[in-house]
Amino acid sequence: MQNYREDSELMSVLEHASNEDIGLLIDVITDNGKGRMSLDDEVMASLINVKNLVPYPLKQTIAEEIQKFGGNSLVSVFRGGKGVLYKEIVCDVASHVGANFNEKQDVAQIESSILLKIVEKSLDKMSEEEKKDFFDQFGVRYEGVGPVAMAALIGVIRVSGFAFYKMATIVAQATAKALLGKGLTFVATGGLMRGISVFAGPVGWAITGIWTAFDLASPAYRITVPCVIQLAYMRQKALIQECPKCGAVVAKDMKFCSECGQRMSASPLLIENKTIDMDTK
Amino acid sequence: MDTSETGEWEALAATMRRTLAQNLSAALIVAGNTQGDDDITKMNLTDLNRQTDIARSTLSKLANGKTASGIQANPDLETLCRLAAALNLPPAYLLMSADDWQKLLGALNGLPQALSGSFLSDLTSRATHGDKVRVGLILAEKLKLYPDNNNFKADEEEVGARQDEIDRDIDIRNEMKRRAILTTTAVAQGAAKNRGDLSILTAIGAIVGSSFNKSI
Repeated sequence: MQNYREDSELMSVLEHASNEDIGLLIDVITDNGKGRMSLDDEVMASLINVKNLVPYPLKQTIAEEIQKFGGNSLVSVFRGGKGVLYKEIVCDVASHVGANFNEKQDVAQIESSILLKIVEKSLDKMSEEEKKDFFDQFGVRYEGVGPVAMAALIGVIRVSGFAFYKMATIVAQATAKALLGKGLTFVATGGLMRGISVFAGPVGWAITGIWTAFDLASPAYRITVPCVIQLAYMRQKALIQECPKCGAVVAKDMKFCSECGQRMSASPLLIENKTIDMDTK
Repeated sequence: MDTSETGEWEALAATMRRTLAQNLSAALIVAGNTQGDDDITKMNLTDLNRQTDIARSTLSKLANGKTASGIQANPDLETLCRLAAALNLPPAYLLMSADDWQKLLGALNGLPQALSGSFLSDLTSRATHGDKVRVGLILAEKLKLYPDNNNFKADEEEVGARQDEIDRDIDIRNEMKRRAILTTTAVAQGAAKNRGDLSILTAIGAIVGSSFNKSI
C-alpha cells in the first residue's frame, strides 16, 4: 500500500462503490481469480479472499494496482514500477482508442468519449433493427449510421446524466459479460434492462476486438481498458438512485420517482455510504 | 477497410508508400552535410540523387508517394538499400510506420511484465530448436493477449445477440493473431545471440504479434 498515490478521481468512485461493483474490478485485476504475471501473490490473495464488505485499505490496494498497470501501459520502462494517476490512465486510453478529448476536460467527460468510441465500433455488429433500437433508447432518430447519428448521440449524453448512465451501463455490462463471463449486479427495469441484453453481444464483440482494432499493444491495456469502463459506470451510478418502490432510475437530486411518484427521501446510496463510513472509522 | 484478398495487400502497400514518403522526408530534413560543425541541415533531392544515383524524378515520386500524374511509387529492394545507405539508417526503418513503432513501444512497455518471475527464461531455456517459437504463443496466452474470447452467451431472455456471427469473427481474429504471433516471434528470435536475448526477443515478438491488426 506504500505505493498508492493519492488519487481523488479514483478513490471518490471506489469509496462509495458497492461490493459487487468492486468485485468486478477485482475480477478484472486478477483475471477472474486466475492471476496475472506481475500481479504480486500476496496482493492477489488479499483481493480474491475478500468476500463481503470491502475494507478501505483494500480499496487503496485496488487503486494502487490500477495505477501500477496504468504505469505499465505508458512509457514506463524507466518509471521504476511507480503508478500513474487515474486521469493519466484515462487520457492514455482515450488517445489510443482515438476518442475525441482534451486533457483539460474532467475525467467523466473523457470516460464518456471512450465509451462512445466503443459504442461506435459496436454498431458494426448490430443489425439495422438493433441500431435503430439502440438510438431509440437515447431518443435519437436513426437514419443510418454516420457522423450525424453519432453527433446526436454525443449531444444527448453530454446533456443528460441519465443517458450517460444508460450508455455506461450497457458498455460496462457487455464488458463484464464478454471478458469475465458475468454481468453487473443491479436493479434495472423496463427499457434499460432490455437495451442491456440486446446490445451485450455486439458491444462485447467490440470490446474483445478493441486491443487489435486500436493498437492497444501493451498487455497492461487488458487491465486498464476494462477498469476505465467499469469505473466510468460506477462514477455515473453514484449520481443516480433507484426508486425503492418500483426500481426506476431517477437522478440523485430528484425528490420523487418520475415513474411511480414514490418519495425519494432517503436515497439508498446515502445509506450505503454511511455503512462504509462507519466501517472505516 | 477492404477485406478481399487483393484489397488487403493493396491497403498495406498504400500505407507503406505513405510511410516511406514520411520517413524519407523526416530523414532528409536532418541528413545534410555539415562539414563537422553542429548545425543540422537539410539534404535536398539533388544531393540525394548525387549520392544514390537514383533519378531525380524517381526520388520525387518516392518522397511524394506518387508522381504528379498519379503513378504510384513502387521502389525495389536495391532502391531502398541505396536510400538507406545514403541516409545512414537501416533499410527497415525507412518502412517502419507509426503503427509499427507504437507496437514496438507497447512491447517495450510490456517487457517488465513479460520478464517478471522466471517464467519466460525457464521456458526459453527448456525449449528445443523446433518449439522455441511456441514459447511466444505460450507467453501471449500467459499475458492474456491471446486468444480473445467473448464470453457473452445469449440466453433465452437475451435476444438479438448475433452470437454465431460474433463467435465466428472472434475465431477468425484468433486464427490470424495466432499466425501473427508465431511469425513475428520467429523473425525476432532469429536475432538471438544467447539465452538472455532469446527471452527478450521472444517477448517482443509475442507482444508485437499480438497487436497485429487487421479489420475483419
